[in-house]
Amino acid sequence: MAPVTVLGISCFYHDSAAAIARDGEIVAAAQEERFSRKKHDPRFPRQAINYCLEEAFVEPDELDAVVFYDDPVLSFDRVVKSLVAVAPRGADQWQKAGPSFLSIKLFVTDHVRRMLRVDVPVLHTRHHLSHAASAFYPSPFEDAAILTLDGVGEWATTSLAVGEGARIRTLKEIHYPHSLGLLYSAFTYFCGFKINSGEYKLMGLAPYGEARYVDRILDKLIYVRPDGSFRLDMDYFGYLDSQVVTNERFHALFEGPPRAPESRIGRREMDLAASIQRATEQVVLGLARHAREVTGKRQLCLAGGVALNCVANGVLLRERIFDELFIQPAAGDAGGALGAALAASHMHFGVPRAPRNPDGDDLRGSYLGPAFSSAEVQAFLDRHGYAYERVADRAERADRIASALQAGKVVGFFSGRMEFGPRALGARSILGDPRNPETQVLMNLKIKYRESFRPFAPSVLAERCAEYFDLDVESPYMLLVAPVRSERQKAAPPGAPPADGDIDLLAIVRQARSDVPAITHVDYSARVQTVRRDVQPDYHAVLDAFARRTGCPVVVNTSFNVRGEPIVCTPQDAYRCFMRTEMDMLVLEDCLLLKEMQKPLEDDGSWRQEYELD
Amino acid sequence: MSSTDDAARVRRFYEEHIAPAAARLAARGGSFFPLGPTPEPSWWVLPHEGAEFYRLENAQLEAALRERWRDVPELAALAPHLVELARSLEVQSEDDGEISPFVYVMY
Repeated sequence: MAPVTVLGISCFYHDSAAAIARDGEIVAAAQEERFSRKKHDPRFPRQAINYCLEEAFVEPDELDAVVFYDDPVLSFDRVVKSLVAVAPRGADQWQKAGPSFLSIKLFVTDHVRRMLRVDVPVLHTRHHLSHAASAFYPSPFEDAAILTLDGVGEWATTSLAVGEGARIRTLKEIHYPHSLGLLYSAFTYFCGFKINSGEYKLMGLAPYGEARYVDRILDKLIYVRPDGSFRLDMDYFGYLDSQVVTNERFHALFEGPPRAPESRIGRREMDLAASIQRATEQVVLGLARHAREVTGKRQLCLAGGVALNCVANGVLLRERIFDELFIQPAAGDAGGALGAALAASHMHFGVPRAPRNPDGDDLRGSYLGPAFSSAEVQAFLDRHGYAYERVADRAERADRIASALQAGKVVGFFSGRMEFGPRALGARSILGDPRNPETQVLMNLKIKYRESFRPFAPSVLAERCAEYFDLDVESPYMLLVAPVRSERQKAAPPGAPPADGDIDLLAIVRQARSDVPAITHVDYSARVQTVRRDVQPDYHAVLDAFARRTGCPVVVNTSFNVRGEPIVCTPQDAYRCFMRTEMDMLVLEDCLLLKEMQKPLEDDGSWRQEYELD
Repeated sequence: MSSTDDAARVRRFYEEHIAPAAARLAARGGSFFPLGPTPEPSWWVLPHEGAEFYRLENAQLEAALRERWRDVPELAALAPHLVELARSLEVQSEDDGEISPFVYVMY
């Protein structure tokens, strides 16, 4: 019997993406932004689709179906009913967004066929089913409770489902406008960060603050029932009837107008960040307790944008409500493409789900994007005359990289298939020495071109994770925050600015908090990635070599990009980013490039204008 | 026809169709969702009914909207006009791809 090949797509809202599955096995997945070089690109993912088709060696007319991750009729139902509910307010929103919804989003089938130039069957499914499927099907669990939480998809903002074998049943939902994701986004905006990209910053800001507003949030903004369900008081929000997510009443509740973007962050923003983080954790715990009670399952799968809140995930893990967690690394809308492909494969086409592997999931480290062979890399370098040295032996190459890191160098590391999801996991990463107190500042100012109050994230050899972090499970996708072990922690030096004053955040972040200061947050936490040899052997070899040289099995891992730029995809992207920053070494597969051996890029002086700041 | 014309027509549609429908609904006390807490012990709801996977061809759109709004005559009456408007609009260019930093994109 011919295999069932399904292409999933997500687009037109945030982070468009494509994914392809053959007989329920994930072949490829990628976000459009990596190809278009436009961060969070919501447009039709034509380049991501092309890549997926190439990776699967199929033509569009060989697809059994293209599955769109959302139900446009149900989404349009919400749009129209929201308009009617707030009329005569909301006319401006409608005028601005109506044309694109009416002309494109209602005609997804036509759009897909026009783009693919083939009369392929186009299916629509539900947004939160796509999220649920993206987490459950690749998980190592035969059955599990599934929670999805995001801003909104059609009407649902939260869903509770149960997965058993090849089947997912959605049990209940919480509906728009009551949304934990939108509540968090309201605070993101109010604190001066961009919605849909600044949530990480707000989460990173939280440890500096005191949660003195949490009661106000839980008394006025969000009401929570004992069964975890919640409602927002829409009197405080603007997203139903204006183009801004908060309103004057919200501003009055929190003592003034929103912080202007890029202005100084004050005590209020720190405390608001801490407060909404605490409130979010409480709501997530309530939902999880209810999910456990209702489903009786011992495992939980999580997806939806809120599942990218790795601090809340860490709290959920430590509460032990469930025995095990699996979180989809592409938890946002991009992951909906993958979920749509998998859901249709199993639930529509009846493809059986393969037996689970208790030792790992089906995501293969989330390395689901394009790879470039050594021959392709060499051809690129030779064509442009870029100086490089090929070091084919993995161990020798890893030792050369480790030596550079030990010497305080910053290394761009490009290896294997690109990650699917927002985190760089050692395929498109910039690496540094976490022991060096200067690494944080150096990498921020000379590589990322930002001043960040957030520390970098660590990658650690999975087998030595427990030496550094209080984390007794693997965290391959950097979705769990855990404390640095107490014996490694350092008190703030005498005379150092206190973490709870209205002072310069950068001064605080520069205080060494542990023997791996570049990755230790002010509250001694770290956003951990555990690295296994069998999943990413090249990256594991680098960490192993660094550990042999220094005794430390941890490196700094930050995404291979500059601020506002999507993570690099191709050798060209990587070389350009390498040359535009003060990175010292670039690793392109088995080719090593040193900065001092390169000629400056010509006519590249205005590159910073290419990227809007995030 | 330019996108500016389209925006004006969409605005006019709001004024001529949506706002009056809203007024009719309000007059009979209809509402679609609560705007805050209500006394029920739980705020979980059942998922919307309907197939988990379905095909939606261009020609089926009006019927799909009518079906969705079968209990709301004010909206069901809008369906043919909305579809006519939708079909008449220039397909919006995707070239921009800009996302407002201030709005969670939910339209």
